Amino acid sequence: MLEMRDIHKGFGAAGGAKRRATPVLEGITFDVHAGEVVSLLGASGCGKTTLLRIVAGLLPADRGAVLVNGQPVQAPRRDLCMVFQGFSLLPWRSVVSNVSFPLELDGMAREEREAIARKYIDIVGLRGCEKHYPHELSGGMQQRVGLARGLVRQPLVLLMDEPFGALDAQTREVLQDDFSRICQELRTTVVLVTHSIEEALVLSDRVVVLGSRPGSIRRIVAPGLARQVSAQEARGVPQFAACAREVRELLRGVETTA
Amino acid sequence: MSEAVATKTRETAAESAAPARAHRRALAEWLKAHPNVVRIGAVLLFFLWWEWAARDANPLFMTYPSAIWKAALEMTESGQLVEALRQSAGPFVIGLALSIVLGILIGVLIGSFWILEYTTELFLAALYATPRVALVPLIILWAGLGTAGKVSIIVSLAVFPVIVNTYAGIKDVRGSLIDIGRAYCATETQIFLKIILPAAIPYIMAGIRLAVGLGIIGLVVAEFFTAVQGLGGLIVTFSNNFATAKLFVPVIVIGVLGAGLTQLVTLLERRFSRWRLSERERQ
Repeated sequence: MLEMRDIHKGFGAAGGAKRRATPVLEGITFDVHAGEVVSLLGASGCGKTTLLRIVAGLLPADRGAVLVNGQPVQAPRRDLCMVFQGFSLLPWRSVVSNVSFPLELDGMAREEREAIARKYIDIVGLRGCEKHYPHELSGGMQQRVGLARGLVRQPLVLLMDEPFGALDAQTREVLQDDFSRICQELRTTVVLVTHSIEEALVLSDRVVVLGSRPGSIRRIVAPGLARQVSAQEARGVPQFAACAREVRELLRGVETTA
Repeated sequence: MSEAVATKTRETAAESAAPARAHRRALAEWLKAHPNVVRIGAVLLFFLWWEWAARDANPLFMTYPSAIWKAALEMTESGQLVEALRQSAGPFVIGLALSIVLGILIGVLIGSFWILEYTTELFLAALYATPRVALVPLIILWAGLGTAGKVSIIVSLAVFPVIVNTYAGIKDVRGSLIDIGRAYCATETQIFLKIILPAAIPYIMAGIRLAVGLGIIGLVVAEFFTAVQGLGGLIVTFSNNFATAKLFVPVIVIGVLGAGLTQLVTLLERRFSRWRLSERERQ
């Protein structure tokens, strides 16, 4: 459904001289299937967020293409929705107004879009907070709003940029659990960027392990934990420890050769 | 015998000193918790002192509150004060409204298009730094002594804080907020109307608050230098006639109006910037 074909990207010096550009991503090729949760895992600076922005159509690739159902992505699409790292809510809008924002951009009537927004606010567990403003909510609640906003257009693929990165450990675990459950219920296809091995393993069907400088695919791992047990329980499964060790060595191996 | 009495008195003195001290502390606490009482008290004290100190001064040079009060009643009864207020209100309202509309428009244009930003930057900085009062004679030459001249003088002062603040507000919108719009396929118009403009509103309101104060200065200056009219006109007339008590009436009216209007805009500003204040508190 979502295909990445040999994506290259470099960031150049001022003036954009391609020859002097430092390569950030090199030859990224992989597919995401319908209903799958795929993590992009790597150290900071490996280009994983850049890759996500290319998929979202916010950045052009230097070479290669992103295809959605066979069509190349050239600009942001309505069926690829993004959940940002720093919550990124509009601070002057209430929860319901933030969640319905994408539908408002589509020109949907207020009552209709707010009814849909309420449904997703329920799904992310924020019933009763519709009228609150972002500054009245905790970090975890704000990111639930961000998630609801990402889901409200029923996107083909949900793109998430370190969605749980800015939260404290306890909040993060609860949110991961809920996120996992919601994705399974809605059968959402997700591409998730993270630097946490643990998060990648407990949430995703497949983990794309990215090496650093330039970012290239080291290996694609299929932990197969996410569908069987909850994110909390997955941490206790023996398979988890083995998988985590394997991925950690992959990441470390990359760093020593770089 | 006398010794015993002395001891007794000392004891009662010590007994009553403790509650007195507690009393004073309680009073201080109460005053600290009620700033308005202290504020109003200070103003009353000031007027009392003024009344007492200026009673015997030469009425040509100085006056005192009860004389000003009498003059104010007289001027209200004769309709002079209301007439002056009416004359001042027109140019002030038009001038302030024009300053706000033009200021926001120019600020938005400069903030949105780099070519306008680069070309106007130096002119704006120079105009902002020049005392605009120096340009009053020139403005009168162009716009005349009537309402147009007065409005022009007010705008020449009050438009700048609106321009500068609107421009700063638009420039200061976080890139991450604009990214939300881009990621969700907003058009450029939608990004401007639904993200950039609301994010800039607290800045614009602060600019309007400054514009109110400058607009009042502009009004008085205009009424001094153009057709002598309105509250500023009253000041000129009375000072020429050495009617010092009457002179203070328009001065106080202008002061109260200025403070009241600024307070009103501050309230509006708070209403629009609540999200921003609490956002800052969190950081």
